[in-house]
Amino acid sequence: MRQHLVLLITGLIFSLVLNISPASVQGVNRIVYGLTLSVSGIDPHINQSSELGIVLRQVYDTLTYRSPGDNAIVPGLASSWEINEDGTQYTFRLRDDVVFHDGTPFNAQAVAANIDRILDPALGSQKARPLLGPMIGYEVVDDFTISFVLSQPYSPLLDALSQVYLGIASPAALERYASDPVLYQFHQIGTGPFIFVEYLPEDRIVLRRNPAYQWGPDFYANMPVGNIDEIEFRYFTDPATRAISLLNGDAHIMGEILPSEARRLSGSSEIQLMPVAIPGQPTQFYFNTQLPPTNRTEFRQALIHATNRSAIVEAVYQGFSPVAWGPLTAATLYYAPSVFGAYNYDVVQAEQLLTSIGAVDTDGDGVREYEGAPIRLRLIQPPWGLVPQVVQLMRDQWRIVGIDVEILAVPGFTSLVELVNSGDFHLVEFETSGLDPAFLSTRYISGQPANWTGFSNEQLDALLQNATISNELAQRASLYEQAQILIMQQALILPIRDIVNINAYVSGIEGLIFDSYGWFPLLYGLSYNPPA
Amino acid sequence: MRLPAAVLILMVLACLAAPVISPYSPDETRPEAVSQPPSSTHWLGTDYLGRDVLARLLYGGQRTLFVAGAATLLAALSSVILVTASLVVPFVAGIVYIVARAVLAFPMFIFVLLLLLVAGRHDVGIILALGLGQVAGFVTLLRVQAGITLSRDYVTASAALGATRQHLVHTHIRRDTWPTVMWYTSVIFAYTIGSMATLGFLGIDPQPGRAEWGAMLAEARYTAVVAPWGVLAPASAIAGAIWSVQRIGVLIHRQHL
Amino acid sequence: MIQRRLLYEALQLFITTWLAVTIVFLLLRAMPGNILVAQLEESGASAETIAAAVQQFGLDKALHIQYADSLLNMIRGTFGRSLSSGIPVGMLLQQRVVNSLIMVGSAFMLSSITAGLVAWLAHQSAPIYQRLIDAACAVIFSLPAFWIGTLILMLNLSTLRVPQSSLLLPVTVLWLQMTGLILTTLRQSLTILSGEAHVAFARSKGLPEHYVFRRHILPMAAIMAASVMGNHLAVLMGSTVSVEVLFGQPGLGSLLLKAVLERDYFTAQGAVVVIVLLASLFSFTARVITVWIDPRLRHSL
Repeated sequence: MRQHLVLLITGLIFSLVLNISPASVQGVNRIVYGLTLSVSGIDPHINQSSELGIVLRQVYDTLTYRSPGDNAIVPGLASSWEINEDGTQYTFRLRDDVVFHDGTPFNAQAVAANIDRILDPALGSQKARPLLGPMIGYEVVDDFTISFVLSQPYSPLLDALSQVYLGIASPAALERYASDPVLYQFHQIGTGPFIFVEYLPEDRIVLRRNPAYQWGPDFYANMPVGNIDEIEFRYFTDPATRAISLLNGDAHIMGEILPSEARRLSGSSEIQLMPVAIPGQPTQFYFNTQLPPTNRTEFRQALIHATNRSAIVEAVYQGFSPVAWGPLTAATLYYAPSVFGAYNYDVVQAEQLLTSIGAVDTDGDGVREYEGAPIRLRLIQPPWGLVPQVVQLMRDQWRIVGIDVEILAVPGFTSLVELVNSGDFHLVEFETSGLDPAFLSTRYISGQPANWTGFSNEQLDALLQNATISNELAQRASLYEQAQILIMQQALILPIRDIVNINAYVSGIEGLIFDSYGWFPLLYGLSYNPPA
Repeated sequence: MRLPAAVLILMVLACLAAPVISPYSPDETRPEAVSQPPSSTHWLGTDYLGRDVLARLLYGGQRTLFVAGAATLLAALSSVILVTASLVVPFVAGIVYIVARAVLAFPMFIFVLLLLLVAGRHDVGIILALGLGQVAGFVTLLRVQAGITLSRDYVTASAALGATRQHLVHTHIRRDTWPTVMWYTSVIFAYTIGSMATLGFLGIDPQPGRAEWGAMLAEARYTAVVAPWGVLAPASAIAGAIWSVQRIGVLIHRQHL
Repeated sequence: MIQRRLLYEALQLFITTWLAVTIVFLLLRAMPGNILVAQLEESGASAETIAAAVQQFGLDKALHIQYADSLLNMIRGTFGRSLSSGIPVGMLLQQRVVNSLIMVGSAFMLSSITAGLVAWLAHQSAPIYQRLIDAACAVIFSLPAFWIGTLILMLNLSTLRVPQSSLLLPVTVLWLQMTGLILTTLRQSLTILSGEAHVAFARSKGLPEHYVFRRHILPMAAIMAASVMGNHLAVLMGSTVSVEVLFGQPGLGSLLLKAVLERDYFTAQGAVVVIVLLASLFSFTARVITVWIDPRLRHSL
């Protein structure tokens, strides 16, 4: 009798367990897009992760867009704009044929409602507000014209407005839900090619195609509309099992495939690879210029010379990423090719530099001493992006020139920031992404809280500040070139590799393209025709 | 049979003799020779950073066996002392068991993580964290075992005849719980090795990169298909160590009977 | 008598929960930084924005006031909001509790049955098979959960192709691990008990083996197994972390881990409370079962 009960329970459990799987969808063309980091906040006006960008880029349109081929800024929800003479006022003429997913018409008042929300300090915007820079307000000229007012010129503004974090949301949704920022995340209403349908925190997000979408940027005109009806975003946080998930059919598209897996899959007929170069900072280590011995320029230069970055790129990234030479990756705007070859792998040069500042091995233990103490660099190592492997190789390479490393492994972002704030470190690995190098200002200008190098130089400050004021391409390019050269002359960072996101998709997927920022796919033209 | 003891001793000796057996350093990377299969130059091949697998196995074994062994001993000794004290001095029992019950309900992994974050990255911290994290479970188990013994008729009879608590503990309880102690110690040993590996998998290893069997297991996942020897070596070593420790426990018990 | 016992258990539960919350509270606040401030600082937010956010979450109050607030919230059952996303902790916990319970519960049921069957079969087999079973247990034991999981994923890829979103795969991993544990416990107890005097006596009376097994050996063995499992389940509620991360199934363990690493105070406190409550429930059940099997034990537990 008891045994029967037990068997019954077992049977129930089995059926329960097997039923926790997505219901098969009939007649709807649905694909699964794999995200790699489980994020719990997905409001683009507040949160800053790239994961939310990957999803919500399809839900929101922006005033401007960047054309994926040539990175030019093209009209989006704004059909044209004018900038006044001193660069403090941008007047946008808006499209009049746009409708939000909830039927609300798009107009200047809608844009105003969004700006109100983002500029409000109580919102705690992590990315949207900083992107707007010195913007202080707006002026609604008429139903389809709005002016943005800045306290000083800011050339990255148009670029900022093309990012998903400044996507325009329905004012009706804002009014109804935005007072509760959590509730709002579940009711995201934009004007984009896909509609936000379902959100289960840290489980999945479902989007459905917007059949009324007619107002996409011009580069969509050349693209056939895809046949995907629905997209389900799910999380695949373990890097080692992403390829398996693709092969198993658990996902159709996935990013951040491990280089070793990508190498293995290169010849496969089932999986196609799509490496995408990400503009922004490369995988790099900031030097702390306030702590000996990394306070000596020669020392920092020596370390870069002592690092065999080609070998690292080949071994860890399987050649999918090129070596980085400066503070910007080659895919970034105003990247200066003149930094190429700035510090090539030269052990002899490294040793000369070290000896020249008095870092010599006095006691024959294989480790140099500097100012009386053996050189033992404290390196803050985060767990992401294969950084631990890079550090292992670097440590061995530096041992050759007599430098020892103490690895401070941090489990996550919070601990990393706290260690940096303590000031007791020599190197820390961190990078941010972005197309317009305006982000260099927060990282390198004197006194900025995010300036982890502690480097202070009037010339660099002036270069970076002027670069965001000037609106002339050639002038900005020149200023940023000088800044990059200066940063590398001072050896403020140890650049390792340009970041390349290795995406993979199953055969049958067509029309997958990524926008100019590299991380974010544009799924308007995505189709899936499974091979028979 | 003394087979498991021989296996264990052989393992320990081999690990201690690492510099003699292998000419390579366990940490030296060779970016030009990653994931090489076993050959005459690298008997067990190289891992995904070009490090010699045999060297990592031997030197890593020193660390694994030392840390796991020390943590296990710490857990076992602390638990036995605590339970003995609780049985002999009833006042202590109340405190020990309430705290143990509370700590037990607390997720062990987080307990270990928190201890690690506080105690630091050094081996001592890891030994303390892994060892103390197991004490609550051990203590509770021994209490049940002791309870079973205490409820036996012959113990009740003995007490009725005037036997003191100390006598009951020394004679009956010790004899009855001894096999459980031996056996659960081997269980803890297995857990500890597994925990060290899991720390690496979750990215919270306090000493990443150092050769250690569990860490090797965690790292080898990235190239498991391409280079299976990177997995087989540490997995076999771990399995061998755990098996021999368990068998020794069982055999000692049998002899004791 | 029973009322007094239940009161004692309730008190124990209260102390346990209070202790857990206090440990998490103290240790997390002792570590510098938290995800809220870290995120804002990194994105270049102004000092006023950061101050406003800190105030919104009540993190600017004195430490002992925050502690009192936390305790009050525990009692009221409101857990506050996550520092990293603003989502109410209760909402985060809801789905994860269900997931964790299903995973752990089904694995436990299945493994108890499997282990019991295999133990009984082993008991009657030739020593060579017993040794093989013991060796198999040792192998399962020696592989940490994430490795068993990876192997199963690879196996799944080449054979069954079960969708990863179903809970079947993580349950399989947990089932294997638990079976290994229960089986070793049972084998151990059976070996001890088989040699005991009263069992030998029963056998000498000519009683059939399966009767001896069921009446004399199994209850004792089950007690040991129940205690070990009671301990282990308590451990397991939080330690399904590996499986959750590997298969991408949201559960209580990974929530707590992430919260601790990020210093997401309220999420960590909330998750710990739920885990502790569930774990206490499990170990209480284990003790009830133990006493039900052998009522003489009720005084020592």
